[in-house]
Amino acid sequence: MSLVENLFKNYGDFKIDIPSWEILDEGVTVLWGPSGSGKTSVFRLLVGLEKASNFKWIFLNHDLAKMAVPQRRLGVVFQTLDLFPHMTAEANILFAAKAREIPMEQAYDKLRELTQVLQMQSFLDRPVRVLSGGERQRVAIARALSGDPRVLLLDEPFSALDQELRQESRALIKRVIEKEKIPTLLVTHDPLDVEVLANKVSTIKHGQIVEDRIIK
Amino acid sequence: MSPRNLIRFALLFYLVFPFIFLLSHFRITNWPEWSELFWAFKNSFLQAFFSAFFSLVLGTWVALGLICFTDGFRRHYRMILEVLCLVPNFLPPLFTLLSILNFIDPFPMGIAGITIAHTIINFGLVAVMLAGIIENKIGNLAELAYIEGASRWQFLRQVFLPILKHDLFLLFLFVFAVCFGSFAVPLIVGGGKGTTMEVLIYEKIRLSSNWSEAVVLAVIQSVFIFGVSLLAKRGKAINSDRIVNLRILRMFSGVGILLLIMTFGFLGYAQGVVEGFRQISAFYELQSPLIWNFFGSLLIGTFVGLLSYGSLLVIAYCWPKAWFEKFLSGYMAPSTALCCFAFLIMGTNESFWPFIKIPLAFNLLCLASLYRMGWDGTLRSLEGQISIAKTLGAETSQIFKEVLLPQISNRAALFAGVAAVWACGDYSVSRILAHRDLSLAMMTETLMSSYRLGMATVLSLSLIVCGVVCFFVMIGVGRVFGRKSF
Repeated sequence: MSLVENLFKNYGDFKIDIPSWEILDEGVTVLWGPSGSGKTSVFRLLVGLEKASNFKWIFLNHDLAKMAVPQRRLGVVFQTLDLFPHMTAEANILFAAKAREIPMEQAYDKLRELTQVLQMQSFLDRPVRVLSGGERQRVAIARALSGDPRVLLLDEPFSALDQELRQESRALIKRVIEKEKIPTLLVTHDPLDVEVLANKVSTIKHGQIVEDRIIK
Repeated sequence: MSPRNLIRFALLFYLVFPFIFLLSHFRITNWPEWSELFWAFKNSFLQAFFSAFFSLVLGTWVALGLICFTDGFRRHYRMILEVLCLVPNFLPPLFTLLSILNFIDPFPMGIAGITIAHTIINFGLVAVMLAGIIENKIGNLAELAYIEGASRWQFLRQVFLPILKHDLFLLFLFVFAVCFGSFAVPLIVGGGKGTTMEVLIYEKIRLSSNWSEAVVLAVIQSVFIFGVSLLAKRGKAINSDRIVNLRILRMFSGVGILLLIMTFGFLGYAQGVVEGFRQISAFYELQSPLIWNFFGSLLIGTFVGLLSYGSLLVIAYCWPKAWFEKFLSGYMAPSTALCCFAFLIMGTNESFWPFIKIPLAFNLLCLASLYRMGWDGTLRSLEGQISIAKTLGAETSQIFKEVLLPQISNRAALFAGVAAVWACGDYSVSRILAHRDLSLAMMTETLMSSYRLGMATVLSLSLIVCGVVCFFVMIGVGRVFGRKSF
């Protein structure tokens, strides 16, 4: 388990108030809650895009909260995906490997592996701005994984996809997470995501974790 | 301190340098006479007030014309009309002044003249901004009112004005602040009766070498404009991409008035050109300076373009940082006269130095405008990508080189190109920093001052050539750097 402690943040009319919270070391922890419950704020605090004082995130004896954002070595997929539109799918994926100074040979090995698991062969050399929603999402996930992250964080990654594509995407993500054996935190409001992907569900309401449930 | 913070502070220092330099060099020993100060302030205030008022009235009318073209192929007409609206604002003021001085004869010098020039320059920009606000903020309400059978007058009175009064006020303040600090227009059409604060600062230094009073005047003016700009903080825009039916508000006469003003402007300019070509033989005496000054304009334009391109990229490199963004959003360029005199008294002004000082001063003066013209929006739209690159472990230099530069280089070059065109047509900055005519714009202004309007208009044609060359040089620079970076 990785342990999040003292995650407090006051936004004036809204507060995040999580004294202690455990995230699985293996498999998928889902942070589930309705719109406006504080999921994305928690996500941004964990990533380090927003600051919270006294916050700790102990992961394998390292306090990630004390590290600068780039040093936390997180793989992130935002709701908006935020791919670099001027690059090809391949360049997007290799960007993270280059940022983490992973040797190019190793980066290309990883790229080949991810290409196969996420079925990206047909569009790897195309600029991301011409890709479909599903293809773009796969590139975003591959990019997040190519930097050899400690934890994978996904913020509503299926929200921009239609129902049919969501199902397919969930299956792909499940497969890649199992294959890579990477601890994952998924933030979502969709009960179907919980049903298909979750190993643990933490329910958030009004900025507080109100329920923690392990799924066998 | 991190290198990025150091660069941020260096840029901040560069932007406020004229104030620091002048305040540290001149002790405020005596204040300007109250009557003189009040008179100049009143003139500045009145011309800015009337310019903003008429720009708003005319701009609203034209905006109601622009919204006639919202759907399908009509949007192409809308684009052409919007470009037409923005031409007087994006061209150097010299061209507008030449057009109206040729067309309106005799021209009413003084506050009336300044107001006419400022209104022609600004109404189109107001129209384009207001048309966007109408579509985004009250488009849906306009459709609903139209379906329910409301009359145009009823809608204007009960919906348009109550909902948009804040936006209209902000637009008014925006034009007011720009006109209050304007120097180029009052310098030519202000005459003796219309001396504004800016012109008074210029006269205090140039004619009576009274630096102490000039600094006081400049500080008063800057504080006042800063206060207005604080009031004019932009409201949050509501964006809607849906095409809305604005039949209830449409006024085709708005397009008519736009075309009429543009036609008059064009006729005025054409009249000047014809008259100037009649005196073509008089150009022989100007042959040699004309060639040198053409290169002078090219040099100044290109240098300003490169400096603007570099400055915009430096801002991008330092992005995002809350205090830095706040400073840039609230920053008002110093008075033109004050800024130029700070450069004037710093070191020598002989030999090639004016060609360095003019671009530096011009860059300092126009950077705030370029930033607000859309550079801030460009950078904000990339914040998501910056965040993700950061979380993926990328260093600042990698983010800048691989993520930002390829995406912003062309846009920075476009803005820099606009600044280069402005610089080619500038005579106010050059007039203070150079003792003789160094550029085509200065030559043109000299001809205008000696009432040889026709010749001045013909000469301004070469400014267009010069501006186009500088603009495309910058576009080329942008492409080269954009490609090399990735």
